[in-house]
Amino acid sequence: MTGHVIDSATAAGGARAPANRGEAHRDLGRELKIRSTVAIAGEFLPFVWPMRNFINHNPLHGLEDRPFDEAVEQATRLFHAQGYLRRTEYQALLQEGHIDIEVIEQLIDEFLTDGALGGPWPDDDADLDLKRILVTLMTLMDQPTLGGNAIPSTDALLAELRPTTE
Amino acid sequence: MKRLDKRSIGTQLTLYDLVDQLFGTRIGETLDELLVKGCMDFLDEGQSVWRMPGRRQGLFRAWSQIARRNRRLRLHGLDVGQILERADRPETAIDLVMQRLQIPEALWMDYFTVELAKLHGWAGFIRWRSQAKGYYWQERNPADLVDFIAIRLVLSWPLIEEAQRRFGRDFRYPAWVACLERNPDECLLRHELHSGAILPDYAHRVEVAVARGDTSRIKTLRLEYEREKTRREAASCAVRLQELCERAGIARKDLARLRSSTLRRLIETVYGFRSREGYVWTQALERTYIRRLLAALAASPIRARSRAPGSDAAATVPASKIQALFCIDVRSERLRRQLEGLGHYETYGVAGFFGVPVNFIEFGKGHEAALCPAIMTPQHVALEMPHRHEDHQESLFQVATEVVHDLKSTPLAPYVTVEAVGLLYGFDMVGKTLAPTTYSRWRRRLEADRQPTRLLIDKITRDEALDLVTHLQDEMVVRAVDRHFGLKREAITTEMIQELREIALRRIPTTPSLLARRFDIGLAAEEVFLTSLRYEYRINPDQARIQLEQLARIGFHLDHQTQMVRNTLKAIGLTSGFARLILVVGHGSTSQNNPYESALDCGACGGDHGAVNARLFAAMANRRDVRERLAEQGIAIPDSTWFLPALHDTTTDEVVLFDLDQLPPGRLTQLTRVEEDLVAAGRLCACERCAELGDTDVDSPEAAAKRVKRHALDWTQVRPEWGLSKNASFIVGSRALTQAIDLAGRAFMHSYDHRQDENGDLLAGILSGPLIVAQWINTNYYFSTVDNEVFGSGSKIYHNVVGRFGVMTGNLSDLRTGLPAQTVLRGQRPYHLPMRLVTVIEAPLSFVDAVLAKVHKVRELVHNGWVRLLVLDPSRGSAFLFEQGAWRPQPNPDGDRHRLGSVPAHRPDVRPPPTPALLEVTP
Repeated sequence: MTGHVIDSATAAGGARAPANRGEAHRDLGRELKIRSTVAIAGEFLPFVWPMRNFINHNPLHGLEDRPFDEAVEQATRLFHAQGYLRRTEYQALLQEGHIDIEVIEQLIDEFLTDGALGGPWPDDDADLDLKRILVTLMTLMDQPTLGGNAIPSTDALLAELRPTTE
Repeated sequence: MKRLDKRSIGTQLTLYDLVDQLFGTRIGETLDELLVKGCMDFLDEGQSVWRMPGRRQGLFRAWSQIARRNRRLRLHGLDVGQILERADRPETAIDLVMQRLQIPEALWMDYFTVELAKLHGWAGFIRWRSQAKGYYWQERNPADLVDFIAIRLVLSWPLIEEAQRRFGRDFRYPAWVACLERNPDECLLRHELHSGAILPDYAHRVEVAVARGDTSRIKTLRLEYEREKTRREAASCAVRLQELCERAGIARKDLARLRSSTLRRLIETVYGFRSREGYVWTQALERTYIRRLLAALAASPIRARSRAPGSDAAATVPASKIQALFCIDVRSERLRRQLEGLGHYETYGVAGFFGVPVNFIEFGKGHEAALCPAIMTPQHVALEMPHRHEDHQESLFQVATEVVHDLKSTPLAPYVTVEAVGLLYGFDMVGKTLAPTTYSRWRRRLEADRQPTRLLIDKITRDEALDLVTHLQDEMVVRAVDRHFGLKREAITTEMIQELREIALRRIPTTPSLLARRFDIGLAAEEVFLTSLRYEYRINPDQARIQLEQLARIGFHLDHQTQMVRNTLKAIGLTSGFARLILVVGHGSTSQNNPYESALDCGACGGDHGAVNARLFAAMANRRDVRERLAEQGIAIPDSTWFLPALHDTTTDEVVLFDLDQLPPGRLTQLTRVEEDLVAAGRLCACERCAELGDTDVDSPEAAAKRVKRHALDWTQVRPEWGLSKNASFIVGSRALTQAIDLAGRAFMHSYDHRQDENGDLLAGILSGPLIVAQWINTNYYFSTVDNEVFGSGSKIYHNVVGRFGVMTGNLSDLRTGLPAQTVLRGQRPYHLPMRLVTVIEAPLSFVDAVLAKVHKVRELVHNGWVRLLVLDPSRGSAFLFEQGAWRPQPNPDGDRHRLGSVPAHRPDVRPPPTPALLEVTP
């Protein structure tokens, strides 16, 4: 990247008047190709109707061909958006009775056994109550602050955790 | 720390994103601003006083003509003229810029996607517009995404070029790839510095180091910085982890005793879970709702009463019984529940267009409004006509002829007449464009003098259509003669008019006409006049053919009317046991100064009021000849049954009855009672509404009714109603299933009886139509709630209407999409509970599975988890939930009704009970 300021006048590419019929056909073919590339690139875009006929629609309509959670993940990247509420909002809903704590426990159980993190733990870790830890994480911990959102490597974290725990 | 990956160039980041992120420029912001201004100018639909010239050539060409000499761009130091001189077509411009930036063609599609996501509101509107059939402004001023991308790229080139000059760097694609490969240390430090993530005590050193460009010093600093930042982040995380474990009952000393492998597992589990946490919360909301719903249904005392099909046929229906068809909308649930609580009402739910998709032309308007779900395209047209003529004047022809005569004195002679009979579509816009003030005055007069109307739904014959077109042409001739020669109707003969019409249509030789001979009009003047007749007044063979085609679209054949009535009645399982009075209740809302008003109207009617569809359905169902055909198909509607259309105002919970003039005289006594019932039920709904809107000082149903009415008329009211907030489920089954339950206005409800649906077609229809609409609504509410800034439209307080078609925040922003904060949030907190639509179907599991196999789109939504499908199988007495690719039997709930707060319908003399509504909350 260093040291070169390009001169736009000498830059590659550019439109030329077609010299003959063959070239005109090639230009037309190229235009059609660009047109279809843009059309496909825009398929993810949700329609926006004029206000006078507001239509409720799925902003992720273009991603419905994939599972909900995957689509949400992709959309959050694409639109720089959030796909879920903040943890503290859900905790408030829990307090207000919109969510049963047993359901959370059930879902944590499923998370720990469905192999998402390489399957159930062997027996030698039986003293580590991961379910309780995750339920506590969901129900009692605040949302991490911005700095706390960073996820360092396991090794780095282990190195920090060891000296302070010992 | 975030390291930039060269694979993200072009797939997640544009080239100027990299410049912004690593060099602290604001190219992206500048681009957005310039592009929004260009879009505002071009897409304007009559709001702006100064109109952008040359718009008919299309977005790119119109913009580029102005951009070549635009001072606004010059102020930004942009000279786009050089590119535009070489590219007069948008495709060429795209090609040119992408090649100059040296982006490999394999990346173009991804690059365009990233560009389009930047202003997804504007891009989404242009995308919608470019495919919308018959959208006036698109036909007039065409625009598409190719134009949009081309402008963005053309603007980005000089901005990138200017940054290259300023920093003495090459910012084209190959240079960026090389930079991330060869100078990762510098890139990382630059990114930390300009993204604001840098450790404050390192900021100055990093700034100096990258400015000097000494590679070895940069590398040394990067190593030190990375080590320090990782240590600090790890320390912060370790503290949080210790806190977490302590709260979970593991003391620090116990945590310290764990083996490294165990600790490692703990760390990986906790951090591995974080990317799933939001999804788990969402599932928790849904599963809690499902558990409570199943428990409530199990406890429902009325469920056993579900009747067998045809069992009512022989039974006598009490004369006092009234049936009512409501829209599936969640806001119907309250009114249905309250009405049923009065004792003699039986209600049904069906998509609020009542199975009648139609393009409607309101009286005095020349354009069609599609009154049906957005996923449908209506083929037929219904017209509204003033209801003044004698009863024997039944046909469209007679009424339209009368209307043509009545409108002779209107100021916009050629246009208004045509509008009134709905022949030439789009003329509403012509009026607005050519003579906005006169037009507006005329419209106001028309509105003020609005007479009772009736809907014309029958087909007209070809002969009648020909007569009508001819008659219209003659009227045009009369107006033209008056305007051109100052000759009034009394000065010319019918023969002259007819001859001019025939000459204009080139059916007879041209000149000299009777008129010319009689009034000494010269050949040249006559030729000018005839040309005007043909092109200005549109008396020409092509136009006549179009008019005949349009007329052929008006109305429905009798068999079609029968079929629509039959399908709707069968879909909701109402094929026998008809009451003497059946209300057909559409819905709409009332609010002032609310650009989002249509979001509160009926989604099944294309975001419009549902009264027209209700009137159409009732008119068809009341016809003797339709009923005769229905009887032949096994649906015997007694002569004594009358369908009465109505409109439920969801803001005030008032119900207005329509077409009372057509009600048989014997029913008038019943009418008073019905009106009183509707008022009573509406007041009880208003009580529920006031509680939700936070109006705590309301102490009676009457006071509640007054309060909600005030909200509707208050132009400063940002939240006239909660709309469909808290929508949670879509229940397809008999009303007996849910009748004893307070669903708290959170359920879409479609009546359905699988025993009347042998081949599953009715269920397939419900799933592929109403369910899709409900899913669109549900997901819009979901995403508008979880990120109101991106997927919603932010606060209404800062909204400005732009171009008469959309809303921006402040003076300049992306076009806002989704729902405003006031619809889904209460203060900063979510009011809507973001969960996927829990769809409940009452039918055997194998039957539902077979139907699902037939409707691809719905199957995809279910399998991909966009709707949660729950089947209540009456044959097995069990419930099955589709989850993780399989049907999972649901445990039989204990049916604890008290815990769930199932309450009887509110009585007028009893205040709403303090028990929370079912499936609402259980504190």
